[in-house]
Amino acid sequence: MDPDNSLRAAYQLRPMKAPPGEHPSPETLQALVRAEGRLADRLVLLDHVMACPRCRPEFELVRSIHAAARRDIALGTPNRIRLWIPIAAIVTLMIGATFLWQRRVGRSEQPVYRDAPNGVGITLQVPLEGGELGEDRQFTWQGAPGASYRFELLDAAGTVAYDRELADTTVALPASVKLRPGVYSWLVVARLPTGEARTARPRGVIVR
Amino acid sequence: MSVTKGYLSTMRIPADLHSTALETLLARAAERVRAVGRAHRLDPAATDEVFQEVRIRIWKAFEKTPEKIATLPASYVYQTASTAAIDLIRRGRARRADATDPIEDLPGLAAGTGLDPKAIEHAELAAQIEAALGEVLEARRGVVRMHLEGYDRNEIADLLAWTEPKVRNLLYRGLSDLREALGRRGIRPGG
Repeated sequence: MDPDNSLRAAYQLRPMKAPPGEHPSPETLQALVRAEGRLADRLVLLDHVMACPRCRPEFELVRSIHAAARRDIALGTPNRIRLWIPIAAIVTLMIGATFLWQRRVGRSEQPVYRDAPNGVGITLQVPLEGGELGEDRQFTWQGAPGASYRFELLDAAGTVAYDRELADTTVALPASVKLRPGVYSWLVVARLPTGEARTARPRGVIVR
Repeated sequence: MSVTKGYLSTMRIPADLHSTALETLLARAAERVRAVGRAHRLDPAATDEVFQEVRIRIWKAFEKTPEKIATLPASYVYQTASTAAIDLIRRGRARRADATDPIEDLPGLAAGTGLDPKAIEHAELAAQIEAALGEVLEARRGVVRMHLEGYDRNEIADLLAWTEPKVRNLLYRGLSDLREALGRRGIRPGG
């Protein structure tokens, strides 16, 4: 057996006794999983939490929620969905290519505008429908005066790969957002100063 | 394209489907949480309890504007789950308040029970490891414990907001301390 594994196996079989000292409050556990506070304090706290039969399950609950949120928003695509991405990508590429060909042959290459019923709408600009995500990984739209926006990028399964609230009409994906090759869609919801929401029809975008 | 689980699903959605939208959102988030915690013995019942609470809170918060439920971003659900988990932990502690400080085992970890010589041997070794851990620098000990509990280096890095190489470095030193301490007790892991 690998020495490290034998250590682990023995360690995990130990009877756990609550270590001396006070148990951290639930809020302190939350601060720990959020990496808030002084590092030295967090390391001491971690030692207690990992050794304590009371705190460990509580910590794991809070940590799992935090980690799941991070993965879901920044990276999240379940494994079983990943299996379908290549198939979805091929089908969508074929549909997208046909659509683009029809547009080039029969109509202008202007972006599709989807205005709200009252005329105050937003217009998605770049990338174009079925286009590829550029190297700058930017999305741009034309907004309404005084509006704030919510941007969402969804993978082929509809899982949010990245979302952000902002006042600007351009968003660039942070380097921390790793996208697997495939077909995604993006949408923007505008919140007008009146409190009303306006949205543009989502667009497909291909990530190589 | 069937990419309709984000804001898309809110468009022209009939009122009686708001609960369906919420259930989809909750089911996805709960499954993600279970998937993360599964490797570390997170009790699935605790996750269920948290998301039941999330369901109630969201319905209460949007009682008068249920059409907004389907537009909720995933981050809102997780934030609510996080708050609900804290309240759940607090309630659990209050319920245990009358109990004496436990000398308890985690489920499935009842080492030394019965007369299985292998189990007794493991329990003795585990006690030696625990004692040896006491000699590891406190600043390294928590990370070493996480490693021994089965957390991978990326999980540790996420928790401490470190890079993976930094975790690897600290872990290397911490495990080295532990092996030395075990060696002084005549224990050679794997040997």
